[in-house]
Amino acid sequence: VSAAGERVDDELAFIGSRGAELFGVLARPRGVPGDTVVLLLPGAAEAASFGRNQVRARLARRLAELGCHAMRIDYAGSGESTGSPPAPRLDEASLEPLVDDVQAVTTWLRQRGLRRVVLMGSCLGSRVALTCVGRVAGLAGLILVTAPVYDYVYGRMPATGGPRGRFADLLGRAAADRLPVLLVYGRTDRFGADFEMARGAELGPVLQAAGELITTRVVEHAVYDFPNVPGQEQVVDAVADWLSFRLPAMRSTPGAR
Amino acid sequence: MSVGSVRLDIRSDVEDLAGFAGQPPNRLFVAVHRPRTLPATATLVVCPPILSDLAVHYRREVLLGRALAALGVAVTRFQYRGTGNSHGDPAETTFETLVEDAHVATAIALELGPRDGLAYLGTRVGALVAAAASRPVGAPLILWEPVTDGASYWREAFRARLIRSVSESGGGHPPVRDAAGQLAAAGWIDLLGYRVTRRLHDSLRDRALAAELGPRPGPVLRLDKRESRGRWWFNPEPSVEEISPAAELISAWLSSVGAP
Repeated sequence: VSAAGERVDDELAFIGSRGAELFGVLARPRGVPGDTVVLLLPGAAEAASFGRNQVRARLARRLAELGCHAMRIDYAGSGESTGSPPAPRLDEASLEPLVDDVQAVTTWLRQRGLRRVVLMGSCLGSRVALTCVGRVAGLAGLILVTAPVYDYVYGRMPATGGPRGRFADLLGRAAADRLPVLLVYGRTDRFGADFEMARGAELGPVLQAAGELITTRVVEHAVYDFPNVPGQEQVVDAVADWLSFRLPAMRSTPGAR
Repeated sequence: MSVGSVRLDIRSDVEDLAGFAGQPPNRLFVAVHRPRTLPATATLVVCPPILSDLAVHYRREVLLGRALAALGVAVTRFQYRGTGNSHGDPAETTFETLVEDAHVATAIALELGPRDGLAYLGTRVGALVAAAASRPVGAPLILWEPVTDGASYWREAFRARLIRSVSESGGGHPPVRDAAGQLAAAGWIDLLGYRVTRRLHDSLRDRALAAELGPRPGPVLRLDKRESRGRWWFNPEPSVEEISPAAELISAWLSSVGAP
């Protein structure tokens, strides 16, 4: 364990999963006990979990300063991890190995007393997070940043829209499990445009039925792949604000799912 | 260095250590790859690139470190303050702090690896850093796609920013042209999602590889990539075919040049 900041300690780990060793960094609020952790899952094209301009490292430390543990992991085959990288595909079979990785990491977190898990994913990571509903123990919430609504094959995306996949069903299942969900999109992102299109169609009933469980934040700047600094800051603020609001209720929930 | 995690690769007989080094608030992420049982024959400090180049070259440097360790070279990688997994305020970064951080990593390398046979590898801007860090001891130096001067580096970077601005504007907004003017006015600019401060820009602008090498440099090996058509711009998993020959070349070269 290495003391890193003034109010946050970073713990480094290699966690075994599917024959690979996943590198992770757990940001711990110094002197603050707790059993809730946000697990940050990158997008497919990211070199490592810290993200462009350290956006995810900054977010993890910000959450730790709010009193919430935050863990970020490098996918197999990226960053400091061993193994081969995930296929950048959104179908269930392609995501299942990454769900196994999340289970391995949450087991490691539970061994440290962190039994309530909020999954936060960007792009591919958001679809991994959604696919974990009902499969990973201790889920307390979801934060989905630029979650693809349609099931693209990476690199072969149509200009807008795309094949309708499992997104609405998965989001509905999360709401049925009473999981609070934060959706974040950039107004100028094509994923944001896709979300607006789906909101007027198959997503509408899901969002209406979920009511206050699902919060949607559409920020002004592009945030897909975090291509600019203001967009990064808007995402960090949106996530921190939402978690500050939701954390007390999560902590008072007697049993995590 | 406070070691945070260790992994052993029994098959390649390599040990990976990951931890933090240096003084708060600028605690640097450091990773050491070293042979597990046999003594290391050389100590290589890897000075990484900065900004967008960091993402492009990161995975290759990890794999290269592990491959070199399997060949008997102890490799120390690090991330500059305010970058990657390291702590620290990126607004404080200058060329001088990049070199300071390389010296912190050198101390770790000499603590955990053999004290003889120190060498440096620098990628892109890291080549300038490695040249400056190696100069006091005339250590052997490997330059990977080196930036040869700061001014042309910024010129290329600002051109890339302009190109993206034009492609994103789609005719709707005027493209962002005057990077230097924005730097002067605001003290920073957004360079492809990275915050570049005037301090960093100005401190790097006048640096040149020839000057950083000094009048009596140690042995130098320069490596440039072969142009490869049809590849994705970012290759998250460089193949063994790309890493192994480079590792063997570097290992053989380090053996041939010996200790400084």
